[in-house]
Amino acid sequence: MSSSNNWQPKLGDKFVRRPRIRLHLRRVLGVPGLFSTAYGDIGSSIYYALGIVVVVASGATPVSLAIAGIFFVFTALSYAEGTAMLPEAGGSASFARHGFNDMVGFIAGWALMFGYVVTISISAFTIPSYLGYFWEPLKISPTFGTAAAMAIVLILIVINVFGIKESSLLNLFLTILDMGTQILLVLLALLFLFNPAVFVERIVNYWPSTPNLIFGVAIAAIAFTGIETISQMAEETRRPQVRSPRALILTTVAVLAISGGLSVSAFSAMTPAEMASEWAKDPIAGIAHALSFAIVPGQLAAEWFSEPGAQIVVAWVLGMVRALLPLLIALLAATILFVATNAGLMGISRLAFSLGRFQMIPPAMSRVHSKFKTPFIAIILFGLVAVLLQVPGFFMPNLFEHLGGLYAFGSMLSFALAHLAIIALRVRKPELPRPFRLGWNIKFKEREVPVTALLGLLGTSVVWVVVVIMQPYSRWVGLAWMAVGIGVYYLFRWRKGISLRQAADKPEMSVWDIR
Amino acid sequence: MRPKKILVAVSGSRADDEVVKLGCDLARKAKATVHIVYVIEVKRSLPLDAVIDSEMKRAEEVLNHAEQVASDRDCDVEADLVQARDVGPAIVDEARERGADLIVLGLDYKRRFGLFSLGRVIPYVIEEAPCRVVICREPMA
Repeated sequence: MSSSNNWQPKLGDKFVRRPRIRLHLRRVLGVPGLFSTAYGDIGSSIYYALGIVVVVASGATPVSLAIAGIFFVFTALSYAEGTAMLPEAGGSASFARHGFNDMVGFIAGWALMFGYVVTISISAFTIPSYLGYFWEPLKISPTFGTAAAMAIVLILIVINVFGIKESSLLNLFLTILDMGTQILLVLLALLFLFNPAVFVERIVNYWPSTPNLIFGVAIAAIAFTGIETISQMAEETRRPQVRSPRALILTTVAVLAISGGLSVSAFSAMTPAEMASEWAKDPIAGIAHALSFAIVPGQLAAEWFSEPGAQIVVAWVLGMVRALLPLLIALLAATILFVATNAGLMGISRLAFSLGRFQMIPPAMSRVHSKFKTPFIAIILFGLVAVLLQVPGFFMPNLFEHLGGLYAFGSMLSFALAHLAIIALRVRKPELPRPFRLGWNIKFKEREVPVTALLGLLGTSVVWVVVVIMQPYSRWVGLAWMAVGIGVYYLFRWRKGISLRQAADKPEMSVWDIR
Repeated sequence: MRPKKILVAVSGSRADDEVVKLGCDLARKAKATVHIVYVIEVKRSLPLDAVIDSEMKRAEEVLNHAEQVASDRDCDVEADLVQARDVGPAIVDEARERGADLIVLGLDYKRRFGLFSLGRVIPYVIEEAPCRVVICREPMA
């Protein structure tokens, strides 16, 4: 009989160590919290998306945004069904893993990570242009602008490695301020600038070539970046099966309304050529600039009121609006974009951790710092990739639109796989509870498949193919990213002896009591 | 004050022993039940359900020790581990969920830049808790 002191595990023994203690997760988010976080992400992209799209699609910008908006609705609906059905962090990666296998889940997740990296680059790249209101070289000098953008990402990398607490109240305040300011801009533009004949004329006279129109639609998807946010936050949401779809729909409506209003405002404020040349990187500042010339306080006050007292007050108010609006836009845009860049870094680190947990990437990439308790390797690694994508800004004048193309590459691939996964789940796992089940279905082999997912799959796939064919920069950088990722996945799984497609062993989840 | 359910929040600080002893003493007098909770705070750069081995190990050590202290006081306790974004709201939420009449928290004697500090958690719990809160501060020396 062997002494217990000399006991050693035999080769092949497997131990699963379970925590003795019962473990709970605290879910705290409701619809308002989800909405403010998601809008903060999605709503920030209009600060650069409008400019990128007009560079490519010129007069067809409102049309491109509208078509991209339709795809956005389809994608939001697929996400609503998927998130309610699978309320875990991972978004399209999670849908694809459940709908197909780990390999497809990895491809979706890796494409999504590319989208996050590009979002970090482009959000930070736009900030100096808005801050150019205070110091012009930030806007007009590629050297200063690019250096500032890189510095912003590097600072955020450090902040996120330390893990400084983010204030949810501050986020909510910024979202309300952001929405309020955007709505104010739209209303002022409609009041002082909008002229239906001029608006239509600018669309018609600056209509692009067909290839540019198609690419414009692809690029316009960047206006709706951030849809993954709600899905990624499902794990923190109370009753996510109900609240996540509601938040998604609310966010979709708000984003479409405000994006539509801002694109009409922009075309009322200036010609597409002016926007593409002078205001490409800070289009919302361009609207504010045009408004500050259109608002003539004394004249307007005299037109509206005959009472001298009322005229004085109204003239004062309009004068304040005219003076403060460009300043407010500059500060607000820079702040919102800074928060969005930070959100991108947090999103990518969470996603990297999730992929590491399911053994899709080496666990070393998702290692947690012993003191700061943050996934510092993922933050530094992917943050530096984002910085690297900005480097060509020193010498490449059209980097801005290339970044838009890169985003379209990653996001369209990820969204297409999300739609495909929703369809696959309907076919392969029809028995899964679907608290939010999409209507308008067609029958396919005794299964019901949502038409919106089919249309979304078609639209996002076509756009992705267009980007790959038409944009060499996006094609080669995007394909290189995917090749590196798939190579790492293949090598990692081969060395671990895990099948490429089958689910690897995961940490036991049954210890979790999730409230 | 005769609480029926007492929530004792431990954090691995020097004040934990005193907090558990106080909670047990109050429970004995009032014939109340005691729940001990430890909150792992998860940074936003990680998923909420991230399993961080070092944190889990520390949590188990802290809760094991707390259970031992309670056992020395002949007090039966139930220990729970909670993972959340913020410690304060997690404690308050746990108290609400369990219908606790009393929350007992510990406080190390710390000075930050020469000023005595209550930290983040205690002011939040004092303000938001649905029940009485007792703070047990360790001695100065």
